[in-house]
Amino acid sequence: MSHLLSVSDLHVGFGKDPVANEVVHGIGFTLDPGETLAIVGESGSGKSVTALSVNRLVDFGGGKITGGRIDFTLGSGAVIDLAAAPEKELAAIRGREIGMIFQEPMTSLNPVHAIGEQIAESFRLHHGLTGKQAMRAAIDALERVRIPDAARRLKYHPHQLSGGMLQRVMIATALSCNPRLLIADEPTTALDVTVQAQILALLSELKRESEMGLVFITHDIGLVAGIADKVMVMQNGKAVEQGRPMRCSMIRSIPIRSIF
Amino acid sequence: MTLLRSIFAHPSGRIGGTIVALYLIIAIMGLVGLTPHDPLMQFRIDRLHAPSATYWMGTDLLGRDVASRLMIGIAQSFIVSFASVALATVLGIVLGLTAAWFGSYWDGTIMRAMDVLLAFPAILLALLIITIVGPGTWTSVMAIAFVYTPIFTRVVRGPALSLKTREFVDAARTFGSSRTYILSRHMLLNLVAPLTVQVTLALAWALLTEAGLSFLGLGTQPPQASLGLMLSEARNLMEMAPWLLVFPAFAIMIGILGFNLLGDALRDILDPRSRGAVA
Ligand SMILES: Nc1ncnc2c1ncn2[C@@H]1O[C@H](COP(=O)(O)OP(=O)(O)O)[C@@H](O)[C@H]1O
Ligand SMILES: [Mg+2]
Repeated sequence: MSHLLSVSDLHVGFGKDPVANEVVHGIGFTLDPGETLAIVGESGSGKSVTALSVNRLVDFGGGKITGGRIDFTLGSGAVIDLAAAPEKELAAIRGREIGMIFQEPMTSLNPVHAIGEQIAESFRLHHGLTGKQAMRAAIDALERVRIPDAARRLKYHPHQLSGGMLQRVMIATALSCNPRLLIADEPTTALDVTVQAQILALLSELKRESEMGLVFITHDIGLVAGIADKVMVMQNGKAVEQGRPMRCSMIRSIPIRSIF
Repeated sequence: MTLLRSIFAHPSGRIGGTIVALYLIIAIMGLVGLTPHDPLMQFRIDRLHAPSATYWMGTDLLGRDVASRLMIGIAQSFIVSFASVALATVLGIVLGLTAAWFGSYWDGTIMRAMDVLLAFPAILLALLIITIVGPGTWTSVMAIAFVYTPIFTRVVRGPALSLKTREFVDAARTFGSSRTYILSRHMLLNLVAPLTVQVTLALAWALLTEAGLSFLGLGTQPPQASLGLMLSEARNLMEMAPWLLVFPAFAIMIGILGFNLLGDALRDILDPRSRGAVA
């Protein structure tokens, strides 16, 4: 059986000459449904660029994939090489098949719209829901990420919610179409420790509820043991170590932090 | 509604808002014919009559009622100003947004073209256009719109460049939003505040430019009335019939003052740093 996601020999560069300005040098990993891969590494090691390459958002930041394959198994069972897919196909896959959340929930939401609007956007786009139906779906999505009093919160603007709440909103949006893969790029880095634990617990629960694959990026090695099935340690755009968390020398070298 | 309330809570907003509202009412009354007299009717025996109970602002050389002409003059000036600013705003949004979004050569071409236009004094550029196309109301509208488009393009492009790199644009892409959706819902809506301020201030300039063009005989054509045209007609009779000059001159001045005060107030109110006032 093919993997949910299989990245091999991925090269990514930036600017006019992406081959000369390469920042990711031949990364490879696989992920199966229901599995969590943690990508750890110091700041600037290429974690975000790797993540953004998977849904090809890297194209919009002036990046280019110069080599390798990103094979992704669609819900239909077909396998598609995302590294070579045209933008039109990618736009249909983003959100529907691959969801993503970022580090800064405060800035990931548009300050001028109520959060309900922003969640509903995804339902309108991928499920063709309209008006009331989309709002109804948005309430369900908020309840799914354990936001109490969802119907009322729908009308809130981002500045009226805390960072932890906003990250839940982002997760709700990312999961609105039940994607088969969720990419979380340092989703807890901007949050304080207690909220961080809540978000991690939520992600684990949500993953258990569906058979979603999770790519979890962090620079905090202490978080890895609690959440990941496998780990990839990155440094300077290369994978320096890969394996199960407990077999990874870097992880074993530090005390495990209890996160729940 | 909250915006209206904030405007009237702001000291200069209250004055500016009242002036603009009054002018709008006068303009609408002028348009639907609610004037003291027929603005085109010549009362031959009452030529150059000083302000009185019958003719509140006197009559002109042909015996037409100045108050009535002032009302339709304000209406005419407003129509030209609003139409030209609306056109400039739309053009500025399209040019500025696409310049910021697509960047590279498209951005370069648009912005250099705008720089060239900005290098000309506004009225000179408008004169040039009218000389080519020929005078008239709709020519003035187009000329004024053309002159102020570069300003709107810049007002849109600057913030759009920074909005484009904001995370919520990336986030919208992660769930597959289309370019049109991102441009209209995420970019344009965040530009409403700077645009509102700019529109109000541009209305003041457009009012002045329209008056200038009509004064030079290139805008509104007689026997129609516009503020600039009335000034021009009053020019030679200044000493004999000062009311011909005073009323339109004040109408222009106070109108511009109104838009500027309103613009200042909107700038304060819509400033994100004082956002609490609106939201
Ligand atoms: N848009 C970009 N243009 C040029 N270089 C970039 C861009 N984004 C990231 N890089 C470079 O790629 C490398 C990896 O960055 P990143 O993946 O963001 O690191 P992190 O592991 O902290 O997420 C860094 O050296 C960074 O300078
Ligand atoms: Mg990063």
